[in-house]
Amino acid sequence: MAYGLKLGTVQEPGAGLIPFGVAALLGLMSIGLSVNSLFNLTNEYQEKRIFRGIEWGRITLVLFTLVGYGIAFNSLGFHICTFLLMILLLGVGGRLKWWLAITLSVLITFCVYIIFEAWLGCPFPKGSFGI
Amino acid sequence: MGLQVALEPVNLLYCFIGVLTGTLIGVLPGIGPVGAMSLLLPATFRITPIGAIIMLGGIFYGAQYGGSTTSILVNIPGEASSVITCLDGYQMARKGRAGPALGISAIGSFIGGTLAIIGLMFVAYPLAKVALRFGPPEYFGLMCVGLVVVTFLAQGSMYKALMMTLLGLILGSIGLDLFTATARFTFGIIELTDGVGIVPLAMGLFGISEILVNMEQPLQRKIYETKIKGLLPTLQDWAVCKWAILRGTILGFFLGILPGGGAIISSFASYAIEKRVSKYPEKFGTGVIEGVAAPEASNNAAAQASFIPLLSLGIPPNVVMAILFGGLLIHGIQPGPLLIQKHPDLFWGVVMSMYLGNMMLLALNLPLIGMWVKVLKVPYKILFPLILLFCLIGVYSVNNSVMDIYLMILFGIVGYVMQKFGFEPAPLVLAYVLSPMLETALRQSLNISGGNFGIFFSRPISLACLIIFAALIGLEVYSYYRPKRRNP
Repeated sequence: MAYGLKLGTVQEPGAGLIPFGVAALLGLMSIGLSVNSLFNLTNEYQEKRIFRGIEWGRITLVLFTLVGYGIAFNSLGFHICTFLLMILLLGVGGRLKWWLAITLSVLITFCVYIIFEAWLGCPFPKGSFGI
Repeated sequence: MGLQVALEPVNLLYCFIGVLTGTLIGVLPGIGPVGAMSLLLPATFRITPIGAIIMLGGIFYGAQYGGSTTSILVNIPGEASSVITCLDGYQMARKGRAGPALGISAIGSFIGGTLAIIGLMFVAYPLAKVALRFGPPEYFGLMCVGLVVVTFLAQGSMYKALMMTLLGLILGSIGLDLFTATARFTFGIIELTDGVGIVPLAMGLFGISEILVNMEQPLQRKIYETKIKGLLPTLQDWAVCKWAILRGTILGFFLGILPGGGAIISSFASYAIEKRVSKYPEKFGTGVIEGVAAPEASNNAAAQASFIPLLSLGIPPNVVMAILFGGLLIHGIQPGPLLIQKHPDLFWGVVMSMYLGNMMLLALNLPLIGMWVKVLKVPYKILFPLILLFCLIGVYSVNNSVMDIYLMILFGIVGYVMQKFGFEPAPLVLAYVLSPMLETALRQSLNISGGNFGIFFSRPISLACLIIFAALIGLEVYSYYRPKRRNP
């Protein structure tokens, strides 16, 4: 892609010259790292399962919740999205009792409204429900 | 002028908010000053540039104070620069000397920070005058040195850190080319014509990824249950610590100025030096008070000194200063040698507020230790949703764009994978911030010289920088390929 941006000349470098050069260097280093890790040329690698024993459910929940927040942000509005986000993260992710999760979610949503919208004046979307 | 600016009630308030937030961030493991600063950066849009820098700077050096509290009481460093404090600080707590450990940590930080600010006042202005003679080749050389020093001092693999530097340079080139206005790597997405913002990048790499890492395992924290009494060190403690604090301050000051240096490196180096000069080095790690005093003085001195390259040269020496650099640009202030001349109120106001901030921190960290201990007891399962929410609010409020939320999540995933495979994010962010300036300096230099690379070698400062650059690259290559020693 950088090559397509015109490299220009040394007297007049084009838009693609620096990115092309840096990307080429990064590519070479990546190949070097791959070869080294495959054949352990510098004897610094030992086999290690870095993704073992991980609570993938909680990580997946966090990521899907964040993406869902972004998708629903304009349509549902800031306050509803924030409330739902807190319930999911506190109740499901944090495994709090449901009544505690709902209470904290309401409290947090209210505090966030006071601090960011009422005091700092941040313009958040109201969504289809106008809340 | 500086004192007048710093003593304005609103600036005092921002200073207090900054150091309080910084101490809180330092106390709480899981989010560092970079994440906190990028989180609060959008909140500074509605205040003056001076207030913004005072507050953001307060977060940075406040976090150095707060990080030692968890190191001493919980054996978990609140900040990377407080890792070394765990070694002797926690052992002192186990021996019933948590109070003196916390006390010497706060007082040592205060002394280190105050002396470094005095040094800043004497060094920054002359350095800025010298820097007025810098041209594009000199800036190119300086930035190359800064980038390679960050990789050289990386805690993990230097090779991987260098790769992250290159990746950061590419990320920094996304958007419109400054010379030809050509859109680069925007993929037709209109929000990317201004490039990737520093807020989603930093929040993703440092905030979201850190939470994802913490989600892997249930986080259990055991606070050392002891009554904290007698915060003031004894006369004997002072007798052994006074030179340690002074040595740590001087070391931290010079390491803080260097591009790529900073609070983390200085704390480790200071500990190593104290152990080397001590009459009883074998006792280090068992609860020696100098092992707490020196690193804490050093990391705070480095934190203050790292403002010098930013304010005098316009070159952020580490990733925290890179966030501040971004903050200054957003407020329409161009960091560089002319900053002190054009905005003396900002420069001297920030310097004076650092004095006041350090005094506030001493008051916050000594009598309010009990409060910070209670904060530590807040369960992480309540904290992490709050941190995520603040990240989302912060990143959206920059441009009111949902694209920034998606970018933050993307960089969060990237940052998580990077951490798992041992790639550090700090070189990436620093390179990203320096990329436009680096490319501009290079292209301007080549324009001036008509394409002749000799311009970099014909000017003394540029030549010196490139020699240092080449030497460090050579050292990195040598250390990567040298035969590893085998244990007998």
